[in-house]
Formats: sequence, structure tokens, C-alpha cells
Amino acid sequence: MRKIGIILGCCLLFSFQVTGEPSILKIDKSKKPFSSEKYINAVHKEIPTYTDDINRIRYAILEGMLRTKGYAWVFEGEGDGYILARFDYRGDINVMRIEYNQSMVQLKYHDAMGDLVCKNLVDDICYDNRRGYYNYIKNLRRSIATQLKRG
Amino acid sequence: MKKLITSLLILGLSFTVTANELHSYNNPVPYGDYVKNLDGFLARALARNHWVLTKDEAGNRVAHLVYKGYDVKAKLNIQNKSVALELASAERIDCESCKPKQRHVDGWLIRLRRAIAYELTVKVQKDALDKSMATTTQE
Repeated sequence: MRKIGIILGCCLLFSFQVTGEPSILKIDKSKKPFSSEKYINAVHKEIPTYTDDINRIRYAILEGMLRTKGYAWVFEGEGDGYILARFDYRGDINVMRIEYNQSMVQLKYHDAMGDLVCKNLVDDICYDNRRGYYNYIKNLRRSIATQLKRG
Repeated sequence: MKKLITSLLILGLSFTVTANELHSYNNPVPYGDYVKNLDGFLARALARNHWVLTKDEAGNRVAHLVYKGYDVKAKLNIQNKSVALELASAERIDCESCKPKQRHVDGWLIRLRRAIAYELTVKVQKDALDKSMATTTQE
């Protein structure tokens, strides 16, 4: 029994990879502390793509990053189905993982430094952070959503 | 059986996410296959914030800034198709006895890294546009 438990534990470790797929956001209110639903949705709510062309979706994400109101987000790396976007401002750093597939795009918390570090992270959705986190990243999400609508 | 469990444990641990620690300007900028002419790319990025691309005696790339009474040099470490900044020296040229203020130097380095990353983002965007247009043409 003990050996089976250890083997199962090892198998679980395999599952802790950065594979993430965008999904419909479901806020679990039992995971306190959390900022208001309005703030969490403003950053992490999924965005419809209006196209199933992955190349167009990828272009819309990058265009959205560059055209974000206030301060452009810059490319920090990419992988299968995601782009890392970085934001540096006044000593604070935030890196978001923009996950995408043919039907939706979703912003997930990847890493941060300074005032933008997430206080309550649940499945890469930041449930509790300073107001600045939600205000800055809301603009990125809006910018990407605008580019996706344009097609 | 013990060997099997140990092997699985080591393999599993190796798959866990180990994020690189964030730093204000040290983190490498991964240009990958998007940049063909590295010197041209870096020269354009550096020029955004008054830096100049030079080479030291060993032939390594160095970013050089003479600005607001400061002379700053930063090494551009190229490894695994990425470029990382490392402060080489910072001096005050307007005042012999004055020490450079680190927050000013850090600020310029942060903006330098950002300028390189911005230039890369534009390249990645263009690549995405080209691929998107190619898809449209095929349709």
C-alpha cells in the first residue's frame, strides 16, 4: 500500500508542469482572501477569439501587448499555446502567461516582484493582490480583446 | 522496486516548474530564432535610450552609455539564443570625488533591457503577422 502511494505521488509530480490551457473562469469564493469578483474577472476572465486561426490569434495577442493603454507589455518567452508578457514599472515587475487555443485566450499569473506579487494564487488565477495589479493588467486584457474582435 | 521508485521520484521532480528568479534587469531576453542579425538588432534597441553597442578587447559585446554626467558600461552576455545584461562599470565623469547613484544606474539598465525586449516583441509580432497573412493567402 505504501509503495503504491509513493508511485502515485511520483505520477502526480509529472502533472505539475506548465501545460495550462485557457478555460472558463470559475471563481471559488471559499478560497479566501480574495479581491472582488469584478477585479478578478477584469484580469482573468477568458476572451473569445472570434476566429479559429491560431496564427491570427497569436498576432492579436502580440498586437494587444504593444498597444496596451499606458505602457506596452514586452515579450518574455513562449511555449506551446502560451506567450509570456512582462511589465516593468517603477521597480515592480509582473509576468503574465497568456494562454490561447482556437476558441479562447486567458491571462494567467506567472510571476511578479515588488508590489505586484500575488497574495492568494489559485490555479494561476490571482485571487488577492493590490489594486495596481488589477488596474495594469485589465488594460492588457482589454487591448488583446480589442485586437481579437478586429479579426 | 526501490530503484524504480527512486527513478520515478527523480524524474517527477525534474518535471516540476522551476521558474527563474525575477530580476530588474538581469533576466535574459530570449530572442530565439527571431533575430538573424544580432548586432543590428542590438544596435537599434540600444539607440532607443542613447546607448551605443561596442566591443571590448576580448570581442564581447558591451553597451556603453554616456549620459547626465555618467559613464556606464554593461556586458551583453549571449547564451542559448538570449541576451542578458550585466553591469560592468559605472562612473561619474562630471565630478571626480562623487560616487554614482545606484538607483540611476539601475533605472537606465532596466530601461535598456526593456528596450531590447520591446524591439524583440516587434519582431515576434511581425513574424506572427507574416504567418497570419500566409494562412490568409492559402485560403
